Amino acid sequence: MNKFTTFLFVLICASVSLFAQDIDSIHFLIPGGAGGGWDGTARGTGEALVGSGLIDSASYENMSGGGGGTAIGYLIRTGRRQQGTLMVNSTPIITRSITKVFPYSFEDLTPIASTIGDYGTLVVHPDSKFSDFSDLISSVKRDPSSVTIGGGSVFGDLDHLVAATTFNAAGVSPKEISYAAYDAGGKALTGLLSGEIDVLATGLGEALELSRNGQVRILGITASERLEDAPEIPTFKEQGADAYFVNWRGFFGPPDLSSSKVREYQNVLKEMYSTDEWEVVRKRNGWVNIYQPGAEFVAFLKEQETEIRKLRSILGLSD
Amino acid sequence: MVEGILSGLQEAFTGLNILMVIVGCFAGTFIGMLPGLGPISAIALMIPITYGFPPATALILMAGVYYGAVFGGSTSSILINAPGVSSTVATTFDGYPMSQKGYAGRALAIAAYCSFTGGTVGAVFLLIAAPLLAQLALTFQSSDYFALMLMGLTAISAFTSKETVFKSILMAVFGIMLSTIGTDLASGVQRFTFGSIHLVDGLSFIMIVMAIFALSESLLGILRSDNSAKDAADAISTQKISSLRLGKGTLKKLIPTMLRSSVLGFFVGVLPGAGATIASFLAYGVEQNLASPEDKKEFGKGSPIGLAAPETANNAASSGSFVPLLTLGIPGSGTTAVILGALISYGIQPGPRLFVEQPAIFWSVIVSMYIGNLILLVLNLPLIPFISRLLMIKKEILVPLILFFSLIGVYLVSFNNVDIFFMVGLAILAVFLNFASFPLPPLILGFILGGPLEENLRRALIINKGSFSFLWERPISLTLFILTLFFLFLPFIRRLIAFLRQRVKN
Amino acid sequence: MSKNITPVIEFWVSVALFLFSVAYGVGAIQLPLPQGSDSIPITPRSIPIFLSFAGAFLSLVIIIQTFVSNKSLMFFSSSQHQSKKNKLKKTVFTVALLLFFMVTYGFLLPWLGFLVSSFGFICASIIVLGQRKWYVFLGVPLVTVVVFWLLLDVLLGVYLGEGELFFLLTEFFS
Repeated sequence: MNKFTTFLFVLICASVSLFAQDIDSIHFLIPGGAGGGWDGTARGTGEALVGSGLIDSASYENMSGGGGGTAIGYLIRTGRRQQGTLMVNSTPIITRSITKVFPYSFEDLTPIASTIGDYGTLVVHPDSKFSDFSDLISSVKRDPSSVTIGGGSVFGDLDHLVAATTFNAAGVSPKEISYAAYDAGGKALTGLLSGEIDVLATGLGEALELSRNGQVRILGITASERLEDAPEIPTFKEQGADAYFVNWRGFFGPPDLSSSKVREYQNVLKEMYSTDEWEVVRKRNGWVNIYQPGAEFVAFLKEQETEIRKLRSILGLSD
Repeated sequence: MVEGILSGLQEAFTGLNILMVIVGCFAGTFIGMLPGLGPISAIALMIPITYGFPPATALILMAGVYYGAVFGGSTSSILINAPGVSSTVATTFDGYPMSQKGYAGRALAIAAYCSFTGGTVGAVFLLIAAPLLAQLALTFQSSDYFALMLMGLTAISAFTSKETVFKSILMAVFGIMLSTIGTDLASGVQRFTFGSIHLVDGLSFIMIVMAIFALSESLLGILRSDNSAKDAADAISTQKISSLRLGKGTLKKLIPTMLRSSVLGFFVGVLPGAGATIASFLAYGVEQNLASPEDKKEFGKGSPIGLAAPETANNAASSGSFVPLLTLGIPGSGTTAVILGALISYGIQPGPRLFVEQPAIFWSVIVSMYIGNLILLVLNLPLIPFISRLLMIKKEILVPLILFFSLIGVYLVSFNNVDIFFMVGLAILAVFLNFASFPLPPLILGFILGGPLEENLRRALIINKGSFSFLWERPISLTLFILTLFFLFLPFIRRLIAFLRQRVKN
Repeated sequence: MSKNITPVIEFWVSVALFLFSVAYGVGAIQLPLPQGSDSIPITPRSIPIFLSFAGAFLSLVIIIQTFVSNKSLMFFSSSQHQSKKNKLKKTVFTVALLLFFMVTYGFLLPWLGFLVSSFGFICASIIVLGQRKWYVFLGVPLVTVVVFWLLLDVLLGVYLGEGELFFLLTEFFS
């Protein structure tokens, strides 16, 4: 072959590899600090993907601030060169968009898929006077001011919403119940155990081990049916309050990401579920697999946004 | 319990674990010196490395990093007024003036001994009474924390002299004002954020401290410099700077302080809602209040007591914060939260069951803490003469490095260059405040305590349905209040007693 | 704390703090009332309003104090301090330059990236402070920046991105 043909050959090979379906590496953008929930999710996902050979390498970038808004804004601004970047996020991208913590919403990005979720729970002290959820509800119905709930989120945000949706589904107005806000789940738990608050709203991930240790009692979870990993925990639905709330975690790409790239990411994430490496990561963190790709994800996000807006207005907040 | 300690010792003295302690201490010291990169990030970044190790080893490494970081933070606090870790801010109050006077080596040595004492006493308490202490961790409620923070505010009096009473209080008020910027916890309302996402989470503590302490001190140093005299003074004091000698009987004099601060620090550390930072401020305030009038005058100017108190308390508190973590699975601070995450990922669930089902891990962590403290002391003391010589670097090089250090430290956390502009503005403000002889530590005190103060007060009110009765109904709150009032009026009481004594004499 | 207390500076700083307290108070009054929890007497406004009054009151007291104890020196600086003022002028200029560099550093960091901006900043600062030996004002920043980069990027995995300019240039050329 003469030089020109060789050159052409190399050129074709090079351009073919550019269109190849394999992802070499993913750059994870983490809107929070090292050691936090988002950080753990991104690094765990990366670990599973690399470990199982689905991708060659992963890199991580922490960019905290603005409740995650700084990273979102950054991804939007530098979108064009972030084709290999996935940003991890969760329910707060909706709540904080509603409360205008940042001027962006998930619609400014390309939602790829949700990968895991954490159902909400209400827990009480093991010696609590409430024997189960219906007991709690009847007490509340009799005298709303006799019960104080607490959580590790700001008023009207995540943990409070878990409580709100549950009480609402049980026919009680959540507005009537005092909510004590703590700045972290751990502190809220102390509040419960010290007797300050009667009920703690939190995620199952945090509560499960505590309940198995006998430190708290879980009244129910906001799922539609009992979980494989926690068959002893009843759902609120089966106790008469059809409440569904899941704090999902998922990945987003920069705006206007090409649909082929979106599909690549979705494929690689989907295949991750069947790997051993992922199961190790999942199990050790207590995550629940909830895979919702593409359009399903977007529909879910929109639905959750509507639901949250409704709950917040029931709480008396007008956004 | 004895078998527990023995098994813990056995576990802790394997070659790998000892190596991990050493690595952790060194790494932690270095990381602690860097402002932005705190023990939280350091530990979090090390977790993936430790997946291959047995859990006890990994924990030992992390504990080493934690203590190392606190020590590293003290080093930068003392040498360049740039606290690398929030629990070493109080160390700057007397540590930096002492090193400015030329006694850097002495200051670092005192810090080392005190940190060792605090950490060890804390580890001993842990050893003896961990499960009991768990109950203590759960007795404090929001109203008690409120009272505790209020007591912490009385530490402002440490910075007041007759002329500056109002200025100190005003600075504290200003600090609390700054702490209100951000999202209000109890209602979700945004305060003073002007729609900027940078302000939504509030002002970063590290940013304020770096700007007000490190940056402004460096700039002030230039403003006040009178070149010829300074260089001459620098040449003479090499000997002084790197000397570790503590002066006659200093250590003996510090023993009561060290004991009191260890106990205070440890118990404050046990409380999930309060941590090493608050412990260090409280200890500083308490010691200052209890000091004799001649000792009191030295506070803020390089008093050994003023340095010993926070240094002991913060290490004791670090040990204390492991109590709720190990016995209840409750993280009381950001650092322990990361450690909790690490523990869970190793398959260990801390809690009442850990003590029963896997005592080896529990004991080995505690024993390794003791070893870590010892190693820090042993490794770092010989290094002090060399570290303190850093101060000998010519000002024209040292200052740019400090400026760079402070700015990049903050930038590396947020990657937000607006922070740099904020810092410049704050530094300028601090320079003016300094010239107008407004003491700056109360500002930081107000900023740190303001948030928890308001948060706990409002939460206590919500829980109490709007009534203030918790102030006198809860015994803990009541006791703390009385103590607060006692500390506030102590100077007057002292004067009264002295006056009465005079009368009796005549 | 400085011994060069100029009553003028004290006065104006106190005035500034007073004005800040008032502005803070005005902002506090305009804070939205929480919609959810109305049963509580203390609102998000309460503590800020209290602080604003406290701040204003205290700064006024200090202003008055400054007047009372420094009547003669109030707005006039005596000629004895002239030489001190000249020295001060020189150092103020240096400090102002450093501040300017810091602000510029803040602007340039995202554009030129960590390595270049930091090098430039340290280098410029050293020169401004009087160091003339080229191996110092080039060597020190070089060593510092490289050491930092090694420790953070390589050892600890903290991501230090390239500057925007780099990306613009690569786009321009590709």
